[in-house]
Amino acid sequence: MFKKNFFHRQKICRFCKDKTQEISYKDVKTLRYFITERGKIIPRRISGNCSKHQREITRAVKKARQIALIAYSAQNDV
Amino acid sequence: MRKYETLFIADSNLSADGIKDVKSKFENIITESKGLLVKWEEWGQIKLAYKIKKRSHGIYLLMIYAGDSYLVSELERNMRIDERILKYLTSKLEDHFDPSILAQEETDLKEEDKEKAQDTHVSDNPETEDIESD
Repeated sequence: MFKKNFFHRQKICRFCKDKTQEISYKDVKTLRYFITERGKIIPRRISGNCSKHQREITRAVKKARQIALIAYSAQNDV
Repeated sequence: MRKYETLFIADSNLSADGIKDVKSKFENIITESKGLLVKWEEWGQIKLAYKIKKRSHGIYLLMIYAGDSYLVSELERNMRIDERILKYLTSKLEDHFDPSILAQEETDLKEEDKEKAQDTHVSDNPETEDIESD
């Protein structure tokens, strides 16, 4: 009965929509949209990315972590 | 020839001369290995997302260059030895890099600059991005 009341938002991959936007590990501002406060990568079912761009995001986040632009996990003092 | 970029973190205690020193050191290595420096980018002092060698801040420098794989291993070897470098990350940008394109771009840029200079005085405003981390 209540099943139909689930809120469905149409998810569009923002990188497919805007083809000029590139995914780079150096672009921390963009990557912040795809990580949680604790530093985890947000899954595709929530971020709405297509598989191709989610892969690129994952790669970029992992690179950014390596070079200390993004934390691996939330620090204790935060 | 391949095109690479190396982003590395230098000690934040370094003076402006110290940074110049670091830069010229790697420039020498590139020229010795018959590589080609494309450009330098300085991001300035940024707070690190986690501590590296007990430091919480670092100066980020981005070096874009072209060369053989030998050059990359040589640069990384030197960065590992150098105590001023906290961390580095190299990534490949292009598999085939034609040095003549670079020369062409340079001349184009110079011509553009000349045109701009003739039109108006262009003020130098390098975009500095503040990257803060939690």
